[in-house]
Order: sequence, then C-alpha cells, then structure tokens
Amino acid sequence: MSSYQHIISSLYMRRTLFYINLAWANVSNSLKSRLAYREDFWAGFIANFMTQMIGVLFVAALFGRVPHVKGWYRYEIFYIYGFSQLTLGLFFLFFSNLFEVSERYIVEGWFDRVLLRPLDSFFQVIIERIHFEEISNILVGLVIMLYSLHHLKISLSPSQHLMILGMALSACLIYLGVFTAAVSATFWFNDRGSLVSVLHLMQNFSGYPVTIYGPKLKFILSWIIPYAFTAFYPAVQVLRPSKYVLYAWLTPAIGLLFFGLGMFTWKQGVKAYESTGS
Amino acid sequence: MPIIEVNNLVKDFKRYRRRPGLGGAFKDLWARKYETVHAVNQVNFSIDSGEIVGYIGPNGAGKSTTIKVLTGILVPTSGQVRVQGLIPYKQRYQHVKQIGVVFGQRTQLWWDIAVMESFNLLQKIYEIPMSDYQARLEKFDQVLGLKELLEVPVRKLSLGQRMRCDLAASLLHNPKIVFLDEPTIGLDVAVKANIREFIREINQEYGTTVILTTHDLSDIEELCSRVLMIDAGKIIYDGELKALKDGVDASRRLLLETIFPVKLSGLADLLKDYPLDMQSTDPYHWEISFNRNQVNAAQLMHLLLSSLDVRDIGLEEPPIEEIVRRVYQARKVQ
Repeated sequence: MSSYQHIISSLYMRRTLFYINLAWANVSNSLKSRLAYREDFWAGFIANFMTQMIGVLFVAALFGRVPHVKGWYRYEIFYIYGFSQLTLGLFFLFFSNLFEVSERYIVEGWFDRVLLRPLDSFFQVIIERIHFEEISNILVGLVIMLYSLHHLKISLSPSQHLMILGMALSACLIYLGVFTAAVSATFWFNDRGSLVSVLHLMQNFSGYPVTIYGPKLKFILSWIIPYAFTAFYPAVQVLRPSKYVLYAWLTPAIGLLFFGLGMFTWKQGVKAYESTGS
Repeated sequence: MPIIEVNNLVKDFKRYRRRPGLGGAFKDLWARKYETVHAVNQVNFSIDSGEIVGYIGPNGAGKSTTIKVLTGILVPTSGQVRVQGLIPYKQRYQHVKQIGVVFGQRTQLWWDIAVMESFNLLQKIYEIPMSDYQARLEKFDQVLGLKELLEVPVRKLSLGQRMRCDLAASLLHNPKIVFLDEPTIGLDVAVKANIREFIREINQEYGTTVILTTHDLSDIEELCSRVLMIDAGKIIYDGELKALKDGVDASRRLLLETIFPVKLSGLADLLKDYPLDMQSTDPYHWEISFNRNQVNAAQLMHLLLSSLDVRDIGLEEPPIEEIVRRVYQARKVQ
C-alpha cells in the first residue's frame, strides 16, 4: 500500500470512529432522557408489547383453525410472521425517526439545523431518535420463531443462526431504502408523507407467504416494493431449503440495491430542500 | 480582503397560487398555477472580517433567504456566494465548521436533553480541544450566566434562557462568522442588553464577524456600524448607519431647560442668525428644531450655554424606526 493510500484509509478510519463515537453519545443521551421519565418509558414499552400481542393473537386465531393454507403449514406461517416482526423491530428500533422527516424536518423546516452541522445529514436525522420500545418487537419475533421451529422440529446450525442474522439485517436495509426514498419525495413535493403511510400500511403484507396473494400482488411485493424479501424469502430458506433458494440469497443484494437507491434520492432531495421560504 | 462576497445572488421559489374558496381548492388539486417568486433578486454586497453588519427589512423582504443561502442551507438559483473563499452549499462541511448560526425562532440545541449534554455533543461534533472548550464555556458564563441553566433540558428553558444558551452554543467552536437571525425577538429589556453586550464582546475579543438581522432597530443602533437594507429582494441601502440617518432625515431637535424663565423674544433675538423653529410649553422648557445641514449643532449649543443659565440641554436625533419607515415609504411612492 502506498503512503498516499495509507493516509486516505487512516483518514477514513478516523472519520468512521468519529461517527461511531457520536452515534454512541447520541444513543446514551437519548436513553438517558427516555429513562428520566420512568412511567412514560414503561407505559410505552407495555403499550408496544400489547400491540404486538394483538397482532400475534390475530395471526394465531386466523391460522390456528386450519392446519395449512395454500400448502403452508400453520407453524411455517408463524415462523414467517415471527421473522417479519424481528426485521420490523430492528428497522423501527434504529430508523423510526425517518417517519418524522417529512413533517417535522422538511415541511416545518427543522432540517435547517441538520444542514448547519458538519456531519452527514442522513446520519444526523437517524441518530436523533432510538425507539427503544421496539426491543419488545424483536423479542416477540424471536420467541415466535423459536416456538415455530420447535414445533416444526427444525434445529439450526450455528452457521444458520448467522445467516438468519445476516438476512434480517439485509431486510432492514430494504425497508431503510424504501422509506428513505419515500421520505425524500417530500423534498420536492412538500407533502406530509402520504407515500410513507401507504408504504407503512403495506408492511402488513410482509408477515405472510406471498403465494397466498394473487399473482399481481406477489409480483409487486417481490420486484417493485420488495417486502417479500424482508421475511418470506429469507424465512423459506430455513423452512424449505430447496424452494426459492435463489430468492433467499438475493436478499442481501436487494437490500444493498434499495439502500443505494434510498441514499441517492436523499442526496438529490437535500439539494432541492427549500426550507420554509423566507 | 472580504470574508463574505455575494455577486448577483438570485433565489427563486416556486409557489403555487391558491385559488379562493373550497371550489378553488378542488381545482388546485388538478391543475396548479405556479408562479416564481424572486425572494432574493440580484443582490450584491461584501463584508469584511470583523464587521458587525445589521441586515434589515420588512417581513418577506428576503433577509432570511439571504442568510440561508450564506449559511449553505439553500442552494442559490443563480449568482455567486463565497464565504471565506468557500461555496457554502457545495463545501458544506468545511463551511459550517467556520460559522455559527442562531435562529431566534428556533433552537439549534437538542430539545430533550440537558443544555450541558448539548454542549458536550457540540464539543464532539466540532472536535473542539477540551481546554479551549472549557475556557470558552467559562468565558461565556461570565457574560451570559449559563451555570444555572446547564442541567436543564432545553424544552424547559424560557425564551430568554434558551437564547442565551443558543448564542453560547453557536460560538463554542470559535467560528469566524456568526449569523444571528432575530436574536432578540420576544426578549425582555434586561436579556436584550445582556445579549448585545455579549455580541459586542465576542466581536472585540475574537474578531468574530457578525451578521445580524432584526426587527428591533435599537439592536442595530447599539451594535452595527454598517447597515444593509433589503426590500422585495433587492438591497436598497448599504452603508453607514449614520449616513443613512443624515441622508434621509437631517432634522434635529434640541431640548433646553433653563434655571430662569426665558422670553420668546429674547431667545429669538439671541438665535436670529440661525434658521430654526422654537416652541415652548412654559418659559423654562424650550424645543428648538433645525436642519443639521444648515445649523451647526455644536455652535448652537455653545451659544446657548454661554448666554443662558442652562439646567439641562440635549440633542435628539430622529428615531431609527422613523428613518426606516421613510425609506420604505419613499420606495413605495416610486
């Protein structure tokens, strides 16, 4: 390695450490201020947990009566549902501030402040809020997955554990990319995030096998707004390794693709930012 | 060498014209009529290092838009802006490291965390050496009295307290330039005085260039040697505050209080060489008005002091509000 490259890479390292350090400072601040209101924290936690449980009960009631739907066994469906809760939990834990961007930052002009700091604008927006309550989502998802695997008599090897983690993170990137792109639209259209709420509602499709939907919806969920890759395809990799194997391995690629797309629209959007006028 | 250079700056906004009524709102859903608003239109100026410049104008004149372009928040439609040789929106990181910004209407601090935590985050973000950071905090505390506020979350601060913290926050990293957009809006007299003193001190001690927009013209009067006046997106005055005052309104009033009663005829006789008007409420109190271009105020005062037994004497300039109002009125008439 030439000394020039060495300087570049050490600068890069330094910058990365700088961001990690800041992220940590922000997380600890945000946790501190959250914990300062103990009742509020627990109320939020319990409310979130109960919302989870209602969802779980709904799925249990719906699929508990029938042994299988379109060839999918009850516990397979539970596993897919659990996986989707895991990835949704991960996504909302770290990125829920994205949902504030349209209204609070762009339309109301709080984004001014972000542009006045010598830091990446996306990093700043994301780091401003960690939604700790989502940990319950992640836990519920994991419990459902373990419970389903137990009933399906599937045991996982250590490498499969790692793979599931990798898939969940890739799925997170898909959500991140999709929502970043949607939120960025506000930079041009100054709407209050209508596209975001549609995409948010559509997340409900992610928890079930896409084969139970019609072919059009299946196509959309696979290739346009690829929510099928956030739970179904990666989950099937464990449930029925021979089926959709290629799809499962596409997950990280689609994650990176959408993440890139999201970052690109964000960058372009920031240039079009108009603040609140004069 | 100017620290800020603005050449032919234009910033347009596209606004859609809303049609009136509910029916109009429905029509707007389908076809919108857009119009281009020139918020800032062909603006030129340059500012030297160490100046305190007052930037004034009515609401919607383009003040904030100019500030937002200078700070790199907005991308100009056309024209060149250089701040310390940098293009603000392009070289954003380098640029914002060198500037401090306060928006009176909106805090730059983190809403939910204590002021001290906000400051500590800024220390990390701007990579301020610890010793500098502590020294500056100490220094700012002396003028702004920050100590008792440090543990309070920002959202619990009063407006005046918040502004003191915001000002300190904007200057922690020792910026070369600080942009203050309405820093005294909604504050009481004591806090205003405190903040003006702080701005003056920072300017003198660190040579920080200050660009100040305000509606309170006494801010300008107390702090700024130079004024930029903007109206409808165009600069209409750029120069010394004093020259503005004299050019627009050269009328002066001299208020006189005497120990013994004075007769009008006597006073008129004494001042017969000067073109001026005299009025009195009683024989002890006189109000003498004249034009400063025709009458030398110092000579006049000297004459009065040497001829009469004066208890009190004072010279009044027209209030700056009045001057600014006249400038804008004159433009409207054109």
